[in-house]
Amino acid sequence: MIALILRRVLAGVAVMWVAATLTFAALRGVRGDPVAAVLGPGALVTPEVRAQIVSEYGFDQPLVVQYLRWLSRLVSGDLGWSYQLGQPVTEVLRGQLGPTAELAIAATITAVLAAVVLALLTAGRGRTTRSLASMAELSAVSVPTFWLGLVALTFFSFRWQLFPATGAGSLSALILPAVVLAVPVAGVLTQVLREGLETALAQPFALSVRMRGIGPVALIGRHALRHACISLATMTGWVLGSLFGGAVLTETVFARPGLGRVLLSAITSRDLPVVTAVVLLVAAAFTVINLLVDLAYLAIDPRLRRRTA
Amino acid sequence: MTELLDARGLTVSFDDRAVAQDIDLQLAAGECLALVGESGSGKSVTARALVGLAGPRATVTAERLQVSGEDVSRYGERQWRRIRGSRIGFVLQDALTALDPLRTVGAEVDEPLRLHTRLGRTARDAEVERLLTECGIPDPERRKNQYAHELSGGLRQRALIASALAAGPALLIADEPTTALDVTVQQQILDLLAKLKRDGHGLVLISHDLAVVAEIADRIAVLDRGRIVEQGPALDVLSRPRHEMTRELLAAIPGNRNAKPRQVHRQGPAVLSVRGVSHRYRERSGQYRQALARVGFELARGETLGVVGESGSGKSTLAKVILGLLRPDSGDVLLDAEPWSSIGERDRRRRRREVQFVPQNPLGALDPRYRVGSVLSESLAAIGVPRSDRLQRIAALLAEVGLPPELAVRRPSELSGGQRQRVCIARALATDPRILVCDEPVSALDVRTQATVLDLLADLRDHRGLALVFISHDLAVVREISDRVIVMKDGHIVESGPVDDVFDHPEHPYAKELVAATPRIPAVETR
Amino acid sequence: MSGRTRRSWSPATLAAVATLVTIVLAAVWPELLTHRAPDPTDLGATLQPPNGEHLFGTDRLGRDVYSRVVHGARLSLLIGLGATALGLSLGTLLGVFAGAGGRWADGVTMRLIDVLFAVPELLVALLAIAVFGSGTANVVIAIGLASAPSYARLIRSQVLTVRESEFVQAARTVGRHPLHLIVRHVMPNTLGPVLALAAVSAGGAVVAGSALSYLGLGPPPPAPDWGSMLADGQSFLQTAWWLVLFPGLAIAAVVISASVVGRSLRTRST
Repeated sequence: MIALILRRVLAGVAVMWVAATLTFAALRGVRGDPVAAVLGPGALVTPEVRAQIVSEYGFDQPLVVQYLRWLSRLVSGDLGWSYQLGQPVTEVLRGQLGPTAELAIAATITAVLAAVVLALLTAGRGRTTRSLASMAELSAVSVPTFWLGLVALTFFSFRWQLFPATGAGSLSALILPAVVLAVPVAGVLTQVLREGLETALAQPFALSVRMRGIGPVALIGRHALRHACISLATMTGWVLGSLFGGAVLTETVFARPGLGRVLLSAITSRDLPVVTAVVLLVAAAFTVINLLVDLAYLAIDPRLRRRTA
Repeated sequence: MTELLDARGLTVSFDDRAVAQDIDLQLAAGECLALVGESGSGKSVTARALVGLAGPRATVTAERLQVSGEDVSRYGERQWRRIRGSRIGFVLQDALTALDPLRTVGAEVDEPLRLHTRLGRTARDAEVERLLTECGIPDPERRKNQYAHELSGGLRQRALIASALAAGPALLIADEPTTALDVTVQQQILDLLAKLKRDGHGLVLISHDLAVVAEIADRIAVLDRGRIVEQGPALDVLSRPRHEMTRELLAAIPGNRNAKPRQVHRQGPAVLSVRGVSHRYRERSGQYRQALARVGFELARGETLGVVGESGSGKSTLAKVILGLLRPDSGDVLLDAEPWSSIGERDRRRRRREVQFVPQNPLGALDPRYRVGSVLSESLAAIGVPRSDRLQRIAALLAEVGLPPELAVRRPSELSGGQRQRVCIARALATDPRILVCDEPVSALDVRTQATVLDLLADLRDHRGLALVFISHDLAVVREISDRVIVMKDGHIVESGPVDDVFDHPEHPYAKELVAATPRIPAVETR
Repeated sequence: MSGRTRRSWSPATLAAVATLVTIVLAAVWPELLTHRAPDPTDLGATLQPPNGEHLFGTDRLGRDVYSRVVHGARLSLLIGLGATALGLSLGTLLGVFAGAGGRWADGVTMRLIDVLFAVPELLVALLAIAVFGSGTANVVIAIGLASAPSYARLIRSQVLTVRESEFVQAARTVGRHPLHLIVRHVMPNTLGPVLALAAVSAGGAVVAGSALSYLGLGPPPPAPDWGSMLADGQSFLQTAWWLVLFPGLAIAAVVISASVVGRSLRTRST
């Protein structure tokens, strides 16, 4: 069991290492002057600044040394300096993590609650209910998040003035973006949960449990729901991706501060130190969450414990 | 004697189509009634109707339906729930899937106690251990904290039975309770069921296998297309069957029928020699498992070698080695005294037509996109039969395996199980092979179909002079078709010899156990 | 036993196919659906709500929104299909390499794919744009790169399943060449699920493309493009709702139709 956890952690470290290598390759893969790439277009390159960058990144050293230096700096938590903004990258990102995490967590809670309720209501129902539900889920997944955000703004903020259109910090400013971000996630989760419930209920064990005289509530609560949760495990990656991608868009639509906005403006101005830092930060968050989810599933499904032990 | 079950005129229908009709069943305490029939005969749905679980789309009617003297014919779901588990226990086929895989077997046995008794936690805990012990599970304190997948097949099935018995039902319904098990384990479970019967439980046993139920049934009801065609004391039904269906089922039981006498036996030198073949697999855990250990035998034209053993004994690995799909770690396989397993793939490909196989699961062995004609055509093309001759050859092959030529345009999904297996046999014959490797070729088939496929294989062997390697877990089937037999356990051959010698006078303890565990019909033995 | 008749298309699938055909028509031959050009401005008729003259209204420069939506189909589909083609080719290469190559090839490729899976697709796309710069071609490359891992994973598992199947072994037993096995058995049986995934993710690629151009990283103005039309319309949410409604509906129509078609392909291929 401990060996298993250790192996997952090591796999996570490997993911981070590859992500760091990829961002390094991306940084050095930009054509032309590497100093200009760090600075971004249109920046003034004084000889002092140039010398500083060359020594910071080791551009006068062989590539291997640059790479190792890049890794060792990351390990020590130094994300570099944004020359465009004139401050350390950690300073740029400070205060941005909070609003994005707040948005993502609120959206996840909304989506999971909605999915559980909807899946329980629609699982094992008649043809019409289920095809309606599956059409609704399909639409929820398909409709572009940013468009949904715009439509929501039009009606809820401007026409009916129920929620503020922009800003962050208050609960009322969080509701609209969180719900918009939750819609596609809820669509997918509902579908997976419902199919998981139906698959579980169609298995022989459900029949033998019913033959013990169990009622429908206990059948789902004590047996089927756990099986359905396992089928959610495969969706973790998709959900996280959808949350992050959605966050970039939702933050733009609702003019919220956050990592997505920072990333976007860094891309537009080609501020590569900030871009690589955000990529690494998100990859790290992903790795940690994936690890936690993996461990949670080990707790739920005893079969996994043996297979990989 | 109290009547535990009294059903009269029980009818189950789906969308106005009756799948079980006018079923009459009575059962007293300490008695075992067997419901026997082929797949689709309505035996399972009848059993489920007895606990009110025939399904949401099913309509169940009965002139009388009583459980322990209580009229349940008008029960609603809530009332059914009260007696499920407490009056009637139900055991399904495969405990690996019939027990909730995410809960310990202790929790599964505990559940009926929680539902139907007012026992406190500690009392229930003690009761769970007592039940596990009663069902023959040693060390219950440890076992109750394990999950189904951590137990062996036999222990698992015992745990499932314990969970059905937990809330003390007098009536136990078991639907194919031993079908998924190896033959020695099957015997142990049958012994357990017999013990429960002696202890005063009433037992309804559902099975496709007359030989299995013959061991413990007091009465037998034979179902065919939703109706009971014959019902009576077990000995009468088995020794003096009155209905045609019963006679056919009995006649189809391997070893019990008048198989055609063998004319041709061993002819000439060995076509296949297996010499000291060993192979081991690396498992996920990194450990090695010996699948074959110094296995050797010879096989001549027109001869059949039976290979018996339980799951995991190395039978299927042996088949792959003979077919040249797996290169053994050591040892040699020779065709006509020429190397086969040791040569390169390119050379082997040229001779592959000589060794063909008949699979266990014909549906998986046929490309779902290919029509029957294309399946055969692919094999004919492989040996260079010109396109112009293929249609004629396809018709001839189909005729040889007893299929009408019209079937050539069908896809595998449009055939019955028996037809699919015949197509697989025809495909094997298409390349004009000399050796046929049959890996459990009849175990997925109903007993009557099984008999006809066995006859076909024997005919082909005799007419074409094929050498047959016949792998099966079913000793009776092997005995019927084989000349010689090898018994395998954990990759080793533990006993070999002429088939009658091995089965009548087994010497190795494992072979003895296997032979003793094979269900037989008593009436036949006295014949 | 399943019947001999093939399952017929459901009404939803038919509607989805009809929608896709219309949109493809708009992309290939927009003049068939509108006589108006997308670009000419008419400063005398700016921000007009939908009316008989302008079916979907006009934007801040007086351009006809209906005409721009019709003409926008070409760029959106081009991005969606181009990215799908790129992702599918890359994914097929990786997947076949992992599935048909040896244990080592499989191990290395799968670890790499696991890592790529651990990073959200949009992030991969954004990183690619940060490196290559914005613009239509780069958007195609970015989305294509980001979608390759999911194709690779599916193709690998399909190849492994089919390769181990008994019908492939049977064909091998009669002495068929490995190439024959791959071409006649493995590939046809892999194709169905892969096409189904491609249909669904082509829809996803259209959304991703429009998302990138909404963020200002796609085709430069004044090219008619659904994503940039939405970005333009955002400033007029309070007054001109039609500016965001219609381009968004067009995107949603493509995605939903693609998903419906993909689903019905998936149920058919199994």
